[in-house]
Amino acid sequence: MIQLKDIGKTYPPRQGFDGVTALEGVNLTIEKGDIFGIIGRSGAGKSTLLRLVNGLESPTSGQVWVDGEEITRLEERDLRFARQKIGMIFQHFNLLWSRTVWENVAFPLEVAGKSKTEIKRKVDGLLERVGLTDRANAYPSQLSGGQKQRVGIARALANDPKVLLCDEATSALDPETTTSILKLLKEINRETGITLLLITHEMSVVRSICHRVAVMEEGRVIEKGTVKEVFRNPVHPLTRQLVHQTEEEGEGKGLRIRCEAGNFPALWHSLRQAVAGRQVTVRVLEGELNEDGGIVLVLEGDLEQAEKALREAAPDWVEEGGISLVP
Amino acid sequence: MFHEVDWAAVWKAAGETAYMVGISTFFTALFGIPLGILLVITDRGHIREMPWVQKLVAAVVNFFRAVPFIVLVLFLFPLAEWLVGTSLGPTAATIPLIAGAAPFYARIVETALREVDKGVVEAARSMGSTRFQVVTKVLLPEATPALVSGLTVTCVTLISFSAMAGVVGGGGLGDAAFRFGFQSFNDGMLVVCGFLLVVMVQLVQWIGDWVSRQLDKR
Repeated sequence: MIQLKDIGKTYPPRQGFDGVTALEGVNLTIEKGDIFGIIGRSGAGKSTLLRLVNGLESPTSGQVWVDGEEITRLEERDLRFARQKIGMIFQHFNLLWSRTVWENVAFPLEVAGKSKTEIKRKVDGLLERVGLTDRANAYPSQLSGGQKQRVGIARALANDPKVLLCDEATSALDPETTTSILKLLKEINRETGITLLLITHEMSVVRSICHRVAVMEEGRVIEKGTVKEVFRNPVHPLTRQLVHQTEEEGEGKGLRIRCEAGNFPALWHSLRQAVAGRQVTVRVLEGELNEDGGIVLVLEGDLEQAEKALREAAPDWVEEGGISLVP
Repeated sequence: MFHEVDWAAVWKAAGETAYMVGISTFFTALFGIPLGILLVITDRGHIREMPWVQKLVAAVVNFFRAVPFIVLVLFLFPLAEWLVGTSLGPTAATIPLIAGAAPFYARIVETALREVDKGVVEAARSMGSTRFQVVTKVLLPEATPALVSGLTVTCVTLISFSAMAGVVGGGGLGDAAFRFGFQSFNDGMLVVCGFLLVVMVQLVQWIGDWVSRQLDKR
């Protein structure tokens, strides 16, 4: 769906500024329906890279292809049509504060010259999809961050794009809201088969929704592959650092266990009683509630106390509880 | 003191001032807004980069802003004869008033448009907007409260300028205060005309503030 071929981007020197190489020798292929993450520190060139895909930036060398069209060769007019099929959401949402939620979502449809009746039908449907029907007449200033990003998502999807670009879309949100926005993006990807390309500096985002990932440093892609591979076997020092970082930040220290989905409700119930007064916190890290799914939990806090709590909650956990320790 | 006030002359003068200020505010907005837009979008890094146009417009605007208003009046009253067929009275006075205020307002418009979040402009472009749509659907609506409060300031300036233009043949409250008040040793007339100008300024400011507040959804 998206192909970046041997991309280079340099900013020429100007009065008072030296020339800067933003991107060098970047090759990426992103399949249709994929959720692809690009991770790197600020200044690594991810933002520029993302903007090449919808032609907001143009490369100094190389080609950008989206859905069989070479973006880098399009005329202004054709580029505008191409952009209508490439949605984009932003870290700071970038909504028009002079327009209501409804009118914000209508914006791209007006731009595309859609009829009034079609705009109405589309906007109503989109607001329902992102769960903001009851806020249709509110102004962005009256919304929470998560709601603003939902408006941003609805707006980006208005013209049924094939690609959705996410520019640090959850970086301005708190962890809970981040989770709900990522969940929404994942659902949309599953429902519509839209290709998601997202840039972030948070490994936890990549880990929770991406299938594939590319790691960038100083304008180059230093590592790429499936998220599992990269997490299991990070080669480059920066990647290792990023992987390590999420383990420290996101998951805390404590006892990690995995239980079968069927046993989860009972375990959760008894664990909550068992940890009371022990200064141990139970957190769900990941999992799927289907037949063969498993849930990974962490009992955060003192290891000894956590073990005691687990034994109390599920005395025969090894044999019957379907619970195992995660290293 | 007030028994000597010629109320008929006062009301006629007040009408002339309102007429002068009304017409020139309208044309100031009409010329100032496009000039302001031009100053912003032709600048480096904006949606229609044209450095030379930007520099030229900026130079013209600065020139008119630098010339003292009284000099504009003296130079442009003759021009009014050619443009509106008379070089006397309130209609003629609108010409230097517009020439003085439009560049002033253009700079206010420029500032207001630059305040619009660059991210929103980028978002609009990412959705495939034309440059024209960026201006009409993003820049202007987002800046409207600032454009209105800026026009209020300009209108207040126009009221005081109109009093000055009046003295050299434009009519209005300034003219009445000078001729029937100051030169005729009629203090009542002077005070009444001055007071009415203050009332006008207050009224304009109050209405402008109210409208701007209503439009501000931030």
